[in-house]
Amino acid sequence: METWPPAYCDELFAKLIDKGHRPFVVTDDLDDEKARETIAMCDYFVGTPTKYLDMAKELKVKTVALLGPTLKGEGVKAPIVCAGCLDKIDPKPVDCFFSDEICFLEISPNDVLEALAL
Amino acid sequence: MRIAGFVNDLGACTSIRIRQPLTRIKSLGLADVDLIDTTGEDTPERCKKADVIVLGRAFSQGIVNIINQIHVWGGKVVFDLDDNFFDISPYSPHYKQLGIMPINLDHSDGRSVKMWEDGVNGFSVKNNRQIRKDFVDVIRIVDCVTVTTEPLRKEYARFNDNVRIVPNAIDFDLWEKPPIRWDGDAVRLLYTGAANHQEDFMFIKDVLKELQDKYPQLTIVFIGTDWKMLKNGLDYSRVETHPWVGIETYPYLMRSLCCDIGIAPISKTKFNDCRSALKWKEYSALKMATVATDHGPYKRAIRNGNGLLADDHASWSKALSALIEDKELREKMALSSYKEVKKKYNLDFVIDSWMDIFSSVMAQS
Repeated sequence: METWPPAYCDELFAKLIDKGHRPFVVTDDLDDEKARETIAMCDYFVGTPTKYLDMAKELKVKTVALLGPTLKGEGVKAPIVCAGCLDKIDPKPVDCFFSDEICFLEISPNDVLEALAL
Repeated sequence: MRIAGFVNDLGACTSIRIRQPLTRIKSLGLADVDLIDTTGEDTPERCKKADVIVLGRAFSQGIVNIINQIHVWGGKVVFDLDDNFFDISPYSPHYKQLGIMPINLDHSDGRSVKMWEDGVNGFSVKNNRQIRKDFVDVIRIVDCVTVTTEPLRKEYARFNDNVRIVPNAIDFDLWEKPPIRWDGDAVRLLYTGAANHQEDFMFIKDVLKELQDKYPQLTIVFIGTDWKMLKNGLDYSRVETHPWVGIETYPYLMRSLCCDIGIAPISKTKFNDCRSALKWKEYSALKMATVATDHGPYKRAIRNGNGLLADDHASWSKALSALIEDKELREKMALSSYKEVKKKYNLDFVIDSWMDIFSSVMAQS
């Protein structure tokens, strides 16, 4: 449950560009300072709950967090139930037991666009 | 225009949503139509010849591959979905393939029964998660998704920008009721529904028992299942049960039963909200009066005297009692809904919507 599918990112970017917006990508290839500079240039931040989301919040950039079914908080939450494995395994694993990312598959680019309300 | 439809099964959905409209399009000469059973060896050649291919209820990586191949050949794909497959009830047998979490039933006495246990009786969370992933993939790559209702459109529009509504339609060539009437004051009340409607039927079983006790002239008619497994307390000497028949025969069976009242109880779930009011349309086509749950499809369809909505035991009992007691009321209601369905949901008129979609999909770059 760590990544949003690349195909979804591509679709979201294409739709944002169609609407006249300019998307940027922040990855771990950037050092934190560069990442912070990039995020600071933006009006919105879309992403999973990583340090970059925290940076965006610190910088008062509007955020749309992509949240799996077990995560709490504001953002777009996967409209799918957790299979429950996280509750059954002790100690709790960091990642989804199934590692198939279907939870994130169910947060569609259109869901994010709706949340952005651009 | 050359349109092909995948019609591997004889199920109701394939028949109503693909076979029936495409057959009518062909008979009206609006397009060349090829109904394909994809188990045939000539399937690739036939697909290559089609401008538009219509398929439904397919959830596998194999289908993703087929759609990609059709695109390589230059064809367009329309994917028809008549249910919300993201929200299958655990009471439905379909949960076995589409459910993604184990389910325990917690009884009021403290017992907990494993309804769906991972790895037991063919239920596999891991496999079903893959099916769900493939399903999302299919929705994303097709050129158009067709659905039956607005809530369903919203659900699938999250994954595809071209989701169009084509309401379920009635082929009046099949559904027109013959002029047969029962003598005297006998009243026949019909419920059609397979075992996957268990959750819906639980809603109504106590009302039916009460009505049976109150009205000796009432005969209850079930199509699909006898519901004895729910220990409903009905007097089965006044219950008729008819098994499912093939979809081609279904309208004839319904016609021959000559029922007066049809019921459509549904539980108030998101899944049911997305469904269409098909039972109301079918009952109406046979000039039967309908009582349905005040939710989702029936709440949207039933108004101005074309049926009755009910919510709890008391309102169901009141609505059905009124119709059982008042022949004039139920006949007036039946005629009103018949006229509406014949005007708005006649297959001949809905064909235009299908043709619009096929034309616009063909024109997409």
